[in-house]
Amino acid sequence: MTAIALDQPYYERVDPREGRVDEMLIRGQGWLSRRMAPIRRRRLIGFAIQAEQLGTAISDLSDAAMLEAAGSLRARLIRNGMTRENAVHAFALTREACARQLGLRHYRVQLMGGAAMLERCVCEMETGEGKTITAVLPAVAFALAGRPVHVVTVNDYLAERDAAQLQPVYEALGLTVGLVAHGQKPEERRAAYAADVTYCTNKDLVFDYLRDRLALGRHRGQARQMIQALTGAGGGGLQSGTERLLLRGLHVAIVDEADSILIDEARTPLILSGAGESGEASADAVYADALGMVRLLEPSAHWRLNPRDRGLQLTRDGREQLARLASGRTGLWGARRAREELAERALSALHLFHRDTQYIVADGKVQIVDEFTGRVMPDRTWEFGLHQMVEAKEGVEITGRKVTLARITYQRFFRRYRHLTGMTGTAMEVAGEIAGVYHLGAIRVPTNRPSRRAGMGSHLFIDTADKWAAVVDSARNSVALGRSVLIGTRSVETSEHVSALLTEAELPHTVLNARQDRQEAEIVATAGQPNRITVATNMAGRGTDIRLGHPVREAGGLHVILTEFHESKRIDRQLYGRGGRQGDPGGFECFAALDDEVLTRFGPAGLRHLALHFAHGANLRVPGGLAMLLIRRAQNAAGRLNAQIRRETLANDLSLDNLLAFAGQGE
Amino acid sequence: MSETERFLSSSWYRIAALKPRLREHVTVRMHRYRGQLWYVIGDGMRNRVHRVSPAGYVLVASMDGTRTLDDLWSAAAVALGEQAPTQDQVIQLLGQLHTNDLVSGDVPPDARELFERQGQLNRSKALQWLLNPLALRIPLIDPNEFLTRTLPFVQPLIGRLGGLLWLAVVLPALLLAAKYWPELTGNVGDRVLPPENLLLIAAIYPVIKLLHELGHGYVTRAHGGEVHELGVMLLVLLPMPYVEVSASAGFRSKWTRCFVGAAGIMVELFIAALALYVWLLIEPGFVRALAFNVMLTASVSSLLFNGNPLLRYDGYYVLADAIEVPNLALRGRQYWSYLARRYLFGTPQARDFPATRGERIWFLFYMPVSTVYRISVTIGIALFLMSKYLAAGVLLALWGVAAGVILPVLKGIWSVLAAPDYQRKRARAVATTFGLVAVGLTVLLWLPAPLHTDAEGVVWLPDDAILRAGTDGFVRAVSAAPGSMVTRGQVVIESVDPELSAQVKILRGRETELIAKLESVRFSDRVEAVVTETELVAVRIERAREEHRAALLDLRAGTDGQFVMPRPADAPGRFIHRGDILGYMLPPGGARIVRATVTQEDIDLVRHHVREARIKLVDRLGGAIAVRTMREVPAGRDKLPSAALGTTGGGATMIDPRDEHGMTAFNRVFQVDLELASPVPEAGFGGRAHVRFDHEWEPLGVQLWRRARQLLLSRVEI
Repeated sequence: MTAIALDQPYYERVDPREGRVDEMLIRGQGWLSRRMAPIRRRRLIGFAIQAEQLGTAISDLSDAAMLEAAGSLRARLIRNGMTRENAVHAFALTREACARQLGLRHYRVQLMGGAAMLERCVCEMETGEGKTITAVLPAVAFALAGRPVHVVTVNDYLAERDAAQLQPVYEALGLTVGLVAHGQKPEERRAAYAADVTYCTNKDLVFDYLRDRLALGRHRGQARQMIQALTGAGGGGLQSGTERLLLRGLHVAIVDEADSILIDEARTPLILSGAGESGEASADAVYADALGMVRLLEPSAHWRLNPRDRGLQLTRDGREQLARLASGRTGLWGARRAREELAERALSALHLFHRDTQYIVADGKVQIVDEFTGRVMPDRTWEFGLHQMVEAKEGVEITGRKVTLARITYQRFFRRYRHLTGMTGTAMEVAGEIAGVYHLGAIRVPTNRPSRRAGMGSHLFIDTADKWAAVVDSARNSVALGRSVLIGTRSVETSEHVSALLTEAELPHTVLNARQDRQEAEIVATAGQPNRITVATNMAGRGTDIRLGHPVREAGGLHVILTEFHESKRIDRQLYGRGGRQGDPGGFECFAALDDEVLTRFGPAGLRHLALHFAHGANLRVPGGLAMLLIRRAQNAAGRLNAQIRRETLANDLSLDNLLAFAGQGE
Repeated sequence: MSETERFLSSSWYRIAALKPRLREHVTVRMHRYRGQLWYVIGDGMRNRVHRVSPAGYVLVASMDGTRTLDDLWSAAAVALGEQAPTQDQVIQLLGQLHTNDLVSGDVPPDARELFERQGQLNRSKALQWLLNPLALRIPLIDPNEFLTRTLPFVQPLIGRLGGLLWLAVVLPALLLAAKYWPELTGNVGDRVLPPENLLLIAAIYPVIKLLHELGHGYVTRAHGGEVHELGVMLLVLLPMPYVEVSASAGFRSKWTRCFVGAAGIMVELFIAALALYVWLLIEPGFVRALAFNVMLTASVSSLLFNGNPLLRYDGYYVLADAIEVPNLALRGRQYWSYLARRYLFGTPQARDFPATRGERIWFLFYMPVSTVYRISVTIGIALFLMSKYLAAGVLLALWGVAAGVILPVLKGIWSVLAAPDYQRKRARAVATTFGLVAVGLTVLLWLPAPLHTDAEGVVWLPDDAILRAGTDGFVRAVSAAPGSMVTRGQVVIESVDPELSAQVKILRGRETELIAKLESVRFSDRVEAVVTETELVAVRIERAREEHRAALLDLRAGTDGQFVMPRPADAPGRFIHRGDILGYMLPPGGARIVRATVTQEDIDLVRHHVREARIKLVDRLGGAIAVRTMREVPAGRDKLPSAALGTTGGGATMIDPRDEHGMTAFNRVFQVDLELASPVPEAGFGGRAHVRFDHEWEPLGVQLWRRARQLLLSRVEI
C-alpha cells in the first residue's frame, strides 16, 4: 500500500491519493481499530511485561557489554527487521540504559506507549507521564534498525533540552544524536540530520525539507541527478545532487504534541520565500491607497462580515462604489478582480485582524501570533500583500513583498513519512481524523499513578464583566489557600486585560504571552510556587512541567482557570492538564460568558436564547446542564468546520497538483 | 479569506517561471457562438478541442516558449484591464490545455500525473459504460486511411451537386410516399413482425448503419477533419456501428458542423428514397420485400432515434451546432445545479454562470425535457422487454432508473451534505434540500389529492321498460300509437303465430277428446282410465303452456310510460324472435339509468371506493346529474351494452377487430348500472353519457403506485 518513490534521491512516500472508496475503507478501518483498542492494549501490556522480564537479565551486563548487545541487536534488526523479539530486546536495552544514565526506569505504561508507536499509532498519554523518555524507546529501536529517526518537538527549547538530556542514553547504545536548532548553518544541519536520531522542531524540519526540494530543482529523479553529476551541469561540479541535501529522507518521525502539529497546524502552509521586489514607493502607496479607499465603504451596505468563517465580502453596491472610487487610477486598480481583492484584503486588515489578537507589533514589526499556541511566529508573514496591508495600517515600515519559492502544509509533509507516529496528551478526540489523513491508529495509554485532578466545573455567565469578576474571585480564593494559580487566556489582549483586573484587585501575578516569549522558561519554572498567579496564553508552557513547590502540593496543587472555551475541547484539556501532573493534586475551573467568540460563532442560536432565558442569580449564571450542552454543541460545530477545512485543503492541494502537473513536480 | 477565485494565486510561484508554448500540431480557429467570439484550439491528432475566450486567447496566443508565464500574465493584465484573467484562471486554463495535450513547457511534466490521468481516463470510460447501458461503445478500427483513399470517389456527392442530387431523389420520394401512404402503412405490424422478416431486418440494419456512419466520416474527412475511430456501439442492446467525428467540432462554419451531424440521416433518407422507387416499380417478391424493409429501417429508425435531439445522437449534435450552444447537455446540467446553488442555497461562491441569455433559455428547457424523455424511453424499452423476457426487462429498468435517477439524486445529496461548495451555507443547503424533500414527500404520500375515474356509458332503461318479444311470431298490428302514453299491462303490439294458434287449437281438441274418453272408460276399464287420466294431465299442461305463449303474442307495456318504437310502419308482418327488443316505454319524467363500462384497471376503485358518481349526457347540455345508487351488472366480461361505447361506434373502448358488430371489447370491461337521482326527460335511450366516479381522496403517491403496479402487472405475463 505504501508507495515509495524509488526514483527519488530521497526515501519518502509518494503522496498517497485516496479515491472515495479508499477513504471509506480507511475510515472503516480506523473505526474498527478504535473498537479493538482493548485487545491492542492487552497486547501492548504483554509486550511491556516481556521487556520488563528481559530487563532483569540485561541489568547484570556491564556498560561495555550493553554496547555490544546493542551492536548485535543492530545486526539482527537490519537482517530480520522489526520483529517482536527484536523490538522487545531494543526496549529492554533502552530501559536499562535510561535507568543507568538518567536514573529513570521506564514504567510499564511508558513501555506500552513506546510499543504503540512502533505500530503506527499516536498514543495518548496524560501530561507529565514522561513522554520524552517514552519516545526514546521507539527512537532507539528504529535507529538500531538503520532508519534515520526524526524526533519532532514544538519548540527549540524542548528540542535542545530533550537532546541534551537523552544524549547519554543514545551514546550508551552506540547511537549518535543530532540537534537541529534555529540559526544553524547548512553544514551543521546536515551533520545533525546525519545522526541516527535527530531532534528538531517541526518548522525547521519542514523548511529544511523545502530547501532540499529547491536544491534538487527540476532535476529530481535519480537518473537526472546522475546525469547532472556526470555532465557537471547545475554548477555543482562533479558533486552529486544528493550531497547538497540536508535530510536523508523521510523515514521515521516521532512527533511530540502530535495533535497540535498534525491537526491544529495541519493546514498552515510553510512558505519558503525569497526577497522579491523590495518596498518600492509605488507598491507601498497601493496599500495605503487601498486602506484609505475602503475606509470610505460602509459596513453592511458595501461589505459584509460572515462571523462563522471570518469571511468578508463586498456587496454589489460595494463593488460599484469601489469602481467609482477607483476610476482614474491605473495599474492594479484597473482590473476588476484585482481591485476587489485589494479592497477585500484592506477590509480584512482593518476589521478581521486585530492587534494583540492575531498579531503584535514589536520592534517596529508586525509579528503574527499563532492562534493555537499563542506564540509569536517570527518569520511568518501573511500572503498576498495582507501583511503589508497590516503594516500600512499600523504605520510601521512596509517590508518588501516576498516571493514564494516553495510551500507545503504540515499535513502533506507528514503524510510522506514512511513511519509516522506521535504522542500527545489529547488524541482521542481527533482519532478519526488522524486515521483518515495520516492512516495512524490512536490509543490511550493508562496513567502510571491515578490522577488527582479535580474539576471544579464550568460557569457560564451572561455578562462578561461578571465572568471576569468570578475569575478574579476564584484566583483570590485559591491563592488564599496557598495554592498556585494558572489563568489561561486565548489572546495577548485578554491576558493583558486579566492582568489589569488582577492589578486592580491587588493580586500580584506574572503574565506569560507572546511578548514575554523569552522569559517563558523562568516564568514556568516559578509558576508552581505558593501564592503565585500566572496569566498565560494557550502556549502556557506546553511540554514543560510546572513543578509544584512542596507547600503548594499540600495546599491542593495548581489551580487552572480557563477564561474562555476554545474551539477545541482538546486545547481546554491541555490547559487543564497543566495541573495535577504525575499524581499531584490539582484542580481546574472554567469561566465563560455568552458572548465569548466560540459561543457567538458556533453556539446554536436557539440554545443561546434559552441560556438568556434561564440565567439566574445575582450575576446571571446559566444553569450547568444547559451551559454544558451549549458549549459542547459549539465546540463540536467548530471541530467539524475545522476538520472539514483541513480535509478540503488537502484535497485542493492534491487536485491543484494535478492541474499544475505541466509545471513539473511540486513540492 | 474568501474561498472564491483569487486574482493572485498562492500557487502562482510554481508556474510563474514557466515558458509555455503551444504545441506544433495545434490549430487555432476563430468561431462565433451566439454573436460572441471564441477561439477553438484543436489538436488534429486526437480530436480534442478546447474553447477559450478572447481574453484567454490573448494569453494563449503569446505562448511561444520564450517568455515566462509571469511576463505573459502581467502583459495581459495591462492589455485587458477590466477583463484581465486572474492567476487562478490562468492556472485553470493552462491545466486544461495540458490535459488536452495542447501546450508544452520548458519543464518535463509530472510523469506520475500523466500516468494517473491515463488510468483515470480508462476508469471513467469503463464507468460510462456501466452507467449508460444503452450506449456501450467498442472501438474497432481506425478508418482514417480508408476514408482518405476512397474520398475521391465520394467527393462529388459532398457539395452543391450532391445536394441537388439528394433533393432530386428524396423530394419526389416524399411525395410518392404520401401518395402510397395506405399501402405503405397498412398492416405494418403483420408485415414486420414475423420472424423471417425480423431476420431480414437484422441483416439489413448493420449495412444501412454502416453507410450512415461512413456518411459522417466522409463529410468530416472532406472538410479536413480526421476520423480515427470506428467501432460498434451497443445501442439498446443492438449492435450498431459508429464513428468518432469530434474533429468536426473544430470546423469554423456551424453549418459544416451541422452537415457532419446530419450526414448520417441524409444518407439513410437517400437510401430509403431509392428503396421506395424499387418497391413501387417491381412485382411482389423477395426483392420488393427487401426494398420495403430497407425503406422502413432507413427512414423510421434514423428519424426516430438519430434525428431526435433529445437523445444524444446525431440530432443532438446538429441541434447544438445549429443553435450555437456547444456542450448543450452538460452545460445544461451545470446550469441547473448553478441555479439550485444560487437561488435555493444562496451559495455565494456560485459565480455568475458563463452563458449568454439565449443559452440559458436553452439550458432551462433542454435539461428537464431530455432527462424525462431519456428516462421514459429507457423505461418504455424495459417494459417492452419485460413482456417477453421478464428478467432482462427488470434488470434494464433497474439499471436505467439507478443510473438516471437514483445516482444523480445520491450525488446531489452527497454534495449538499459534504461537498466543499456548500460549506458556508451548509445549514441552509441542508435545510432547503431536506425541506423540499419533506414537502415533496408530504404532498406525495400524505396530502390527499382528488381521485376519480372517468368512464363512458349509455342511457339505459329498467328491464320492464323494454318491450321484448315474449315469443316468436309475426307482428300483426301496433296497437298503441308510438309516442303515446301507455299504461302498464296495456297491449302495445299484437303479433300472431299461426302455428301456435293451430297448436293451441289442436291441444284443446285433444283435451276435449281425452275428457270424453275418460268419461267413457272410467267405470269400465280402470287401467285404461288411469292411462287416459295421465295423458290428460300432460295435454293440459302443454295446452296451458301454449296458451300462455299465445297470450305473450300480445306485447304489453311492462310499465307506464311513453311508448317509443323505431319505424312502427315497417313492423306489421315482420317476424320477431323471442327476446327481440321492439320498443320501449320511456318512463314518465325521463330516463333514470345509465349503464357504464369500466375497465379492469378501474373496477376495483369503482367497486369499493366510490364516494359519489355523476354523469353528463353527451346530447344534453347543462350540469352533471348526480347518481343515487349503483349496481354492477353481471354480464359477459367482454360484451358492451351498446355499440356506441366501442371505438367503432365513436366511444372509447377498444373493440376486438374480429367482431363485426363492434360489441365485443378487446380488453375486459365491467358493466355498472347507475340510477340517477332525478330523471332526465330528454334523454334518449342509448344516448351516450360520460360518467365520473369520485373516490375518496388519496395521496398522489398512492395513486401513482397503483397505476405503476397495474402497468407492470399488465406487461408481465405471469
